[in-house]
Amino acid sequence: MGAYRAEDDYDYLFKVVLTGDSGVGKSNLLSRFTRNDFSNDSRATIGVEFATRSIQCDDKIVKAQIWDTAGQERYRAITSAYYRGAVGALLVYDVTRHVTFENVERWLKELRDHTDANIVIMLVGNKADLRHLRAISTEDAKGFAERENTFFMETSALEALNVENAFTEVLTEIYRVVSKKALEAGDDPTTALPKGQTINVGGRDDISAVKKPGCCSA
Amino acid sequence: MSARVKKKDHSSNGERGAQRSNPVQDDSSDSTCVSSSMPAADAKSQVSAFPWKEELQVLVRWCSYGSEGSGKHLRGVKKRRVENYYQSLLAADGLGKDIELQDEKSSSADPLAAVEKWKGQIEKDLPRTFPGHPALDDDGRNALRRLLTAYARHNPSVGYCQAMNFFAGLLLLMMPEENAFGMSLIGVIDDYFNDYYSEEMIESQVDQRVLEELVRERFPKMVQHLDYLGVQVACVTAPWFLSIFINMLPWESGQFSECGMCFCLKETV
Repeated sequence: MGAYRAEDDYDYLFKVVLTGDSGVGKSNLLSRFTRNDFSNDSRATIGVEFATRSIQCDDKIVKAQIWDTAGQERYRAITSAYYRGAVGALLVYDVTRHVTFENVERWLKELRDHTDANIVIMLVGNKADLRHLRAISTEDAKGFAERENTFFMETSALEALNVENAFTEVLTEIYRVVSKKALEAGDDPTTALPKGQTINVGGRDDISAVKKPGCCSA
Repeated sequence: MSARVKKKDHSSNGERGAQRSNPVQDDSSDSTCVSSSMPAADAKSQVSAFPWKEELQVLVRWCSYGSEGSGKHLRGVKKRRVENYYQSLLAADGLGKDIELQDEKSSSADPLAAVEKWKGQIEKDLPRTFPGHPALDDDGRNALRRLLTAYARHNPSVGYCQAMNFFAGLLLLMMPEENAFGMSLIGVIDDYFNDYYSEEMIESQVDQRVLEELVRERFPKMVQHLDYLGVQVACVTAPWFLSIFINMLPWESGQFSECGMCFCLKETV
């Protein structure tokens, strides 16, 4: 394994998944973040696609391996397996389509059923550039995110609004959790979250999916 | 002789289509009698080292009928039956081009309720099927909508699954709409991909498990690397199989459908 490592220059590798209804803009969020690219003519995602990008956190290089999943409901039968090992998730809805927001709850359950309890989740309202078509108010979404203990941000992949911030915030939070954990345990900090470990970051109430000790389910 | 074999093939396909107007029939029985409706079944009696090859040739021949630009292989009653069936599936909400032909099939009322469920998904995917392709303009998209809707009504247990849009779109580029429906969409998806696209996508998952085992056996170093990255083989290969290799190989190669069929046929036979 070490041989492979040498080719890649990073300190941490974090797996982040993009979920949410079909057509909310997951693939364009991914292409905006990893390639600074947006396509009006994007094609439907079949199964799963991935891309990577490295960012700097403190003096460490964090490499994000981002998985983009198909949005159609039946694809959950095969994509749920892809959540394995994810330490972060962007749960995307379309601010112009109410039904995509209504389904957020189901996606959240799906995520929590299939991932480690420590996963960092951010609720993302995409297509914020379509102001005249907005169907979900920022306040409603923010309230939901607070209740569910997730981060929240509104983005526009088209206008490159907040896309960088959304991913960076999730990755930085994962980094904080992992490095703090590593410090406490005196572990090699290059390993990702040990499965089943509870981590208390403390300080902020809205830190998502970081369970208090003793709390083991959503 | 070979022409007769071809005709026989179409007739079974046409009848198959007509039978399908009953929405409550058992789909699983179809997938088990695949080879009986195929002319390759005749050929199979002659010992062959690659039985799937003959079946592949027949399928490729099917596809080429449409591009020959004629329905001469599908003359008469059988051709009309497929067309009538297609129109009757679409007639329910006025999607059909010719509504005069709704005589015998009136059973589309029941699947209509079920099809509404995936209507929205079809609409979302129309502009996301080969976006920018000149043939998929407004007319092309309308044809694609009709094709996918007709299939969803023909086989309510599958309905519409993302990835079918690419296959249906490709067929429309190769042949007339009715042929795309009657000969290819029904023929290929019902027989080879039925449980690929059903709600549970069971066959897709099974195939990926089998492939993963094979890859693990044959290319251990590659799997080791994928394991290191935390990527299952299926994550890479499932989209290839689900989209029947469309979008995965260059359009110009013209080989992708053949290649995709190779895979599914090899597994089926």
